[in-house]
Amino acid sequence: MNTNKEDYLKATYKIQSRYNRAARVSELAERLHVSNPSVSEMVRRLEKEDLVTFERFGGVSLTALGIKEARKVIRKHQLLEVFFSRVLKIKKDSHDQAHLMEHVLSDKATDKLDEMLKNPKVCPDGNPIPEKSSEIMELCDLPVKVRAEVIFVATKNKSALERLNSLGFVPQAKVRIVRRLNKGPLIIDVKGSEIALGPDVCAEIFVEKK
Amino acid sequence: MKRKPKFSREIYKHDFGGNVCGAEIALVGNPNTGKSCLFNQLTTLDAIVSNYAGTTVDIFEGKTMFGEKIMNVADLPGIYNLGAASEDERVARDYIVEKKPKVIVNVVDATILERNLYLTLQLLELKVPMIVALNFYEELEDKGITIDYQALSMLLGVPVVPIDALRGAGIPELVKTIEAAMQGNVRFEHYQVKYGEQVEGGGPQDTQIARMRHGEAALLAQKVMVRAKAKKSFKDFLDRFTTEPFTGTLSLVVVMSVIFASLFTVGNYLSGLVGKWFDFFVGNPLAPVISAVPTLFLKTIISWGLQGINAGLQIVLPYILVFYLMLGALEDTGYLPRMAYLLDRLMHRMHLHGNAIIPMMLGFGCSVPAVLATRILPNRRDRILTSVLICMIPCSARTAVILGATGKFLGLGCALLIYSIVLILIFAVGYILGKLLPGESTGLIMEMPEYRLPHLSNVWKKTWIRVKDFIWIAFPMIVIGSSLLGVLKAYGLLAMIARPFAPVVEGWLMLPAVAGITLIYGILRKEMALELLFVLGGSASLLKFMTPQQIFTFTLVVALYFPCAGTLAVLKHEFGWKKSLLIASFTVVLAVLAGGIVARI
Repeated sequence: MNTNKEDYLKATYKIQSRYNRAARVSELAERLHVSNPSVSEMVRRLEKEDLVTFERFGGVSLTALGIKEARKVIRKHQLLEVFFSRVLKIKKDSHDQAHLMEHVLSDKATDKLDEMLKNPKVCPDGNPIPEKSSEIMELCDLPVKVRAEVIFVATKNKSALERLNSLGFVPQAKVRIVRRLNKGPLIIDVKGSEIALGPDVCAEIFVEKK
Repeated sequence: MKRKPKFSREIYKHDFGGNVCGAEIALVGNPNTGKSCLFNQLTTLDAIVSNYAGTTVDIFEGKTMFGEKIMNVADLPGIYNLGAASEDERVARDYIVEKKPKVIVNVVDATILERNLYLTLQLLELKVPMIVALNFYEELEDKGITIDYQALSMLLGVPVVPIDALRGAGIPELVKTIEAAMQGNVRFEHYQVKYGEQVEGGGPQDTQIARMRHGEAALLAQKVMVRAKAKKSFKDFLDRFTTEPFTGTLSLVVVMSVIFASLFTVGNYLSGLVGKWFDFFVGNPLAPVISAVPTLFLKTIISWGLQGINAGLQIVLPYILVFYLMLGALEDTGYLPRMAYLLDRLMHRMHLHGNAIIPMMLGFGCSVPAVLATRILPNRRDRILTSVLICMIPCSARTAVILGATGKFLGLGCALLIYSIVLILIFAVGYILGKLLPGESTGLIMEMPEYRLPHLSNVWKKTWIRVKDFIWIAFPMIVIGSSLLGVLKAYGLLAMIARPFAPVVEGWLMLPAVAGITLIYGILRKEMALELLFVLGGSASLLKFMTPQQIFTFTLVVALYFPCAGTLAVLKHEFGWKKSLLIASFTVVLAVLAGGIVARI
């Protein structure tokens, strides 16, 4: 995967997990300092590789595979930052350096780095570091009774998002499927209350199996 | 501990744009936390209390005595945040923001403390004097939870009072605290969530803010709550049983069958009993009196008015009473949201979601509150579509017609056939209209409440509130309508009124001319069509002047045509004239078409 692609996935991931919604083309363009048409072109390529889905009016949304790839890069970045601050004791430029190195660091080197740093859970600015082997899926694919953590909600519907936000379906919230009907709605335990969600709503919530 | 009502039992619906003054005390909280129950305790008024999110969809204001002062108390629809994810949430938010209540009583479900604190933290940001009422405090024990409410009060910087709104425990303490707050004797140090600089851009519903507020809520809950292992209870078993695919469907069928079977048997039994009593105590003793009345005009008015009362008591009241008793009990258990869950997939066929089931179930009682209840739906498209279907659902008045006409004279089988035809039509209309109506529909997002035992006095109270409406509004109409009909008939004017409708009524629907006239009355209230049919036909048996097929056609038409005047008014209030008239004409066309076809089979 080339540098450019990884940056796109990372930027989309950051927007999605911050706002709990799909990323707009203009937002990506602004973040990556490129033009709207070049974003559209790249998004089409990513779509072909099944990393994102794109709707003209809805925006760009990562697939489970896309989330995985994005988290891989973010993990490299954050481990590098921990390394800079904790081991090398440099603060200045550490972000920019990590940003360049995240694309070239091999998976194996990443794991070794993680081992050496004793599996840090958060990076210096307090953001959680994604775990190495995490299973990412849509909430509707989660087996019953298994615990999971919300990554983000990718719905394009504003009122649904608002309701989900206030019920506690925010990034890092812990959820568990209590019961489900075949291809039908699910009952989910979140924040100590049981919420029934339609299958269409669940398909727009990405979770990490715990 | 009942506070004596010192005022007329006035309860007025708050209409935005109207000039009802803002209340001093507003009850705010998540859906289904017992705000209406507390409201009833504080004001001795009768707001309807049930066990599902969205029982209250409008603002109710009532008065109460605090010491020597009269206070306005407002009961708001439940909200998860100060947002506008649905119409009922918008109503509540606008009230808090625009009317600025002097004291907010934040009703919190102690069993779901963490989630409830999310709204509490948001309300604290308003810096209005606030008191947290910890409801369902007595249920904590069963769940193995203990909450240190004094510590919570210290952390939040506002008073916290544990209460049991249903049984009234803790209410005196709450009232004292409210009084102290009103007099400025409480020091408030509203706890504020520090969002820091990480938050960039976005409105109040920004995920970043939501996330931090949820984080704070979790921390606060952790600090004051100790959770032991909960014992497995019968409630859990029942919850499981009624939501697993097979047993859930089975229990759904059983619940619905029990409702309709008892409507038919108990309703019929009561109906016969009331008829006998009426003849014995009123009809027979008065007969000589009436025949002694000198003028034809007066005689007609009295005797027809009396027959109207008889018809209302005998034909309609028993069915309405029985239905509302059962609906009330069902609402209290918390079963309705489970129905929504089970039927979500079926509702998808109609391009709706399970949440539309609750207003539709209420529609079996009366269309007016049912149309209002569509406010719990997240968008206008779903609301309109559901309202159209509600207009077709046999409400208790129509059920009375179906059971009192077809059921009584043609048998239960035929009554069930009418139900099936109506339900199939509802499904077909939903299927077609769902495809035609533009707009994307939001999926099911609904809280499953804890199962609770129905509280008998509450069920009875609710039934009374609902039946009272029927008695006060419907009976005068029946009496006046019936007398008027008698006068028209006595002076030979009936045929004249019936003539313009003859082509449709007699020609197309093949009904007797008298039936056409009662159908006009049915526009006011559905059950009047049948009541007046008995009166006009001059016999307690429809079979004396109608063929079985005519009874069947008549019943089907009554069940489908025109939402009654009350429903039309509420449709207009919610969606405007254009849409409501469109819905009304649609049902008329549908009824005439269906009736004409049935008349020819």
